[in-house]
Amino acid sequence: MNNDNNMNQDILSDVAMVVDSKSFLERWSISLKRDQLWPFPVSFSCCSTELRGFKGKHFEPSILDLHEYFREPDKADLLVLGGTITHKMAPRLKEIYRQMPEGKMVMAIGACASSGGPYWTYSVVQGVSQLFPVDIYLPGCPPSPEAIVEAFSSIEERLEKRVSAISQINWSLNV
Amino acid sequence: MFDFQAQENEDLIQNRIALLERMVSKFGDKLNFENPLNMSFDENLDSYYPLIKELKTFFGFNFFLNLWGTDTEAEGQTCLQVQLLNMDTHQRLVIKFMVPEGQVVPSLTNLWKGCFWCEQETWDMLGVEFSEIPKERIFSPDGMEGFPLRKDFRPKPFQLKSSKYEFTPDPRVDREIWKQRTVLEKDFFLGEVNGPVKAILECDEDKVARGRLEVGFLHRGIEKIAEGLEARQILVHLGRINMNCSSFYEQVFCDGVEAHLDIDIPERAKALRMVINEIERIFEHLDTLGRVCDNLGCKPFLFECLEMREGLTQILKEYSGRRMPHQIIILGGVFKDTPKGWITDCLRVLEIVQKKTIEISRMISKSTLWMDRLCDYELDSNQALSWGVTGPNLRASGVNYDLRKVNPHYFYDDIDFEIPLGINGQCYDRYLVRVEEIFQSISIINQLLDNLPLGSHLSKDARIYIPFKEDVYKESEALIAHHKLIKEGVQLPIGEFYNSIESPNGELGVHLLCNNSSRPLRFKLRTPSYYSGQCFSDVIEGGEPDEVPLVISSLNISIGEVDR
Repeated sequence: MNNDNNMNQDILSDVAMVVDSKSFLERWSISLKRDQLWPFPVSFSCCSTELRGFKGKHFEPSILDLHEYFREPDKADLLVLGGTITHKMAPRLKEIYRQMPEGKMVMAIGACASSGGPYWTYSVVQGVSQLFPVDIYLPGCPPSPEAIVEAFSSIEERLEKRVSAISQINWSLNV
Repeated sequence: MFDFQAQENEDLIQNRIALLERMVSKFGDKLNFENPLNMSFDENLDSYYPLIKELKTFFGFNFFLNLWGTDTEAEGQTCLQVQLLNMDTHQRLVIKFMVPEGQVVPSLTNLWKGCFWCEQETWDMLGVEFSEIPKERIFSPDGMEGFPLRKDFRPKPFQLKSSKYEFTPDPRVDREIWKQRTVLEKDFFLGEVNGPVKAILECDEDKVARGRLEVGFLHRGIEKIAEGLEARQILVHLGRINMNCSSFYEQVFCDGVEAHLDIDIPERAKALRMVINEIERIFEHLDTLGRVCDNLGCKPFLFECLEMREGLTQILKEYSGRRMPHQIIILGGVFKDTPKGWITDCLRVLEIVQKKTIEISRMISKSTLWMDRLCDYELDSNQALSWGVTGPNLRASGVNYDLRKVNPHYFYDDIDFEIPLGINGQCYDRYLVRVEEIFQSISIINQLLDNLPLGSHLSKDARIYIPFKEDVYKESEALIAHHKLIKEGVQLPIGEFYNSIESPNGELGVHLLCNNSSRPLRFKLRTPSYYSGQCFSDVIEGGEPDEVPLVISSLNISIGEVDR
């Protein structure tokens, strides 16, 4: 337990450095040193409520506390999608995905983002995988905050093993 | 002692009778005294606009509630329904017109501005054409063929078209000046506001001259889905429209179906439903408060609000076992009695919420920064009534209209609470009204939990009650009832009903057209954010483009409610 606490404090201090440091080089070196996640949460409907609750004090240290600082997709490397994706929304999402730098990962939160959920209608895209490759599918309607924490840890595992959906599929990037 | 309340009620009833007498003498046999009051016209559309104008000017139906269409069995005919409200006598009226295919219906936007999205949606969903209304898709994807709510609609693959909205010339200024204006498009997809939305702003130098919201990024077609589902299945979808106040959606539907089937639910169930609703009201108001703080840059208060919300979520989880769409309210009552010790826990959490809210409001209400930023973006009462805005936004403009007082259901009649009112209709008034409503809700819950009636929590009426599995194995009657309810669903007798409730954002209504089967013919929701979303274009005038998320969150426009 003690070890874990120390680890958490370690992460927090690094995170604080990432946020405070102004120079790009410094941030870059930190992000190279340890595989720091820079998430970019796109939130729509119900699952975003759970993402929002996740920002509260109950789940410290929460990675999403940081998301205020990464409002630009061209600096993020993890796209977090929560909610129903409609046909009207799809072009905008593709644009965000294209703007993200190389080595990007995608996480679909909830049944709607994963597969369309209960909404099998004229206006809903049946899952994000129709738009671009997805790393983590998180089931639930909506998933609990514990499940979201678990998903983030499995994303970190994939980072350690250097696996991502793009490298596996050999995806052509002309989305 | 002179009883003011009784006198008021007597006056109200007399006014209502006088109004009905006048209407009967004028319209005669066209009126149909159902609940709600119906008025059907099978003639041609020539009398459509003059009739509604007459109702507005001479009969006091000054509030526009809803406009929707239904595809009928007759070839190419659409039944157009307009719902109006008389605010003095609280009398509702539904006017029905049959529209043949290809006929252009005169638009009502001259009378009420709030009809705009309704009429555009009617074209989008059913193909009914309105004069002065652009034929653009508002909710369904652009480029799709066909009209979704028609019975013969079959979805086909399509190519998405990207269309750009263009402002028409402003009649208030010269054409030369208008041409110098720039158009800004801002999209909010990252959780700044409650749902994905795009704001299109026409800017005159730094100020916004005109603005509108583009919606439809979260349109899931719940009204279409509901036509193929039975009552219990619809409930699941209703809880997911606005996750912050899901119990209101469940209650308005359950209450309507119960009234339609003529079922009386136990008193304990009524009281528990009220408790759950008021908890959700606090939940939604705290969410709004947190968003306003977030958009003003007051991060500590945002985290305080989120923590209070988390406490309330834990309370609801303790009750139901689920976190977010808890689905406590089901047909016939609530699905479970209160767990042991829940009432004490609930009171404890509410005390903390009250203490913290008082603390926060003391810190920020009088601070100059808070007042400087929020004393702006006015929505006066005339505008609010014209747009069809209800709820705290209307009350912040100074109009005293709350369904809990004017049309009390369950025990709201016996409970002592007050309706806070604003004066100017600015963001600051809306904030104050919401904070005061939190305190009133806490007081309502305290009164209810002190006098919680004893008895069953679920009605055992055979038409809606699913027997326990143990009984099913032993008794043949229970087996038959179980099989019928699971296989066919709740049978809804022929007819239609409208039921409404005061949700945290305003009047939430559900309209159901049933045809002696378990599936409804038409399912229509009147969601409050639909109308406060339209009034955004009036509120933002003269403001700054950077403060759009602040205005949206202070009006509490929930896009899930708008798009459905």
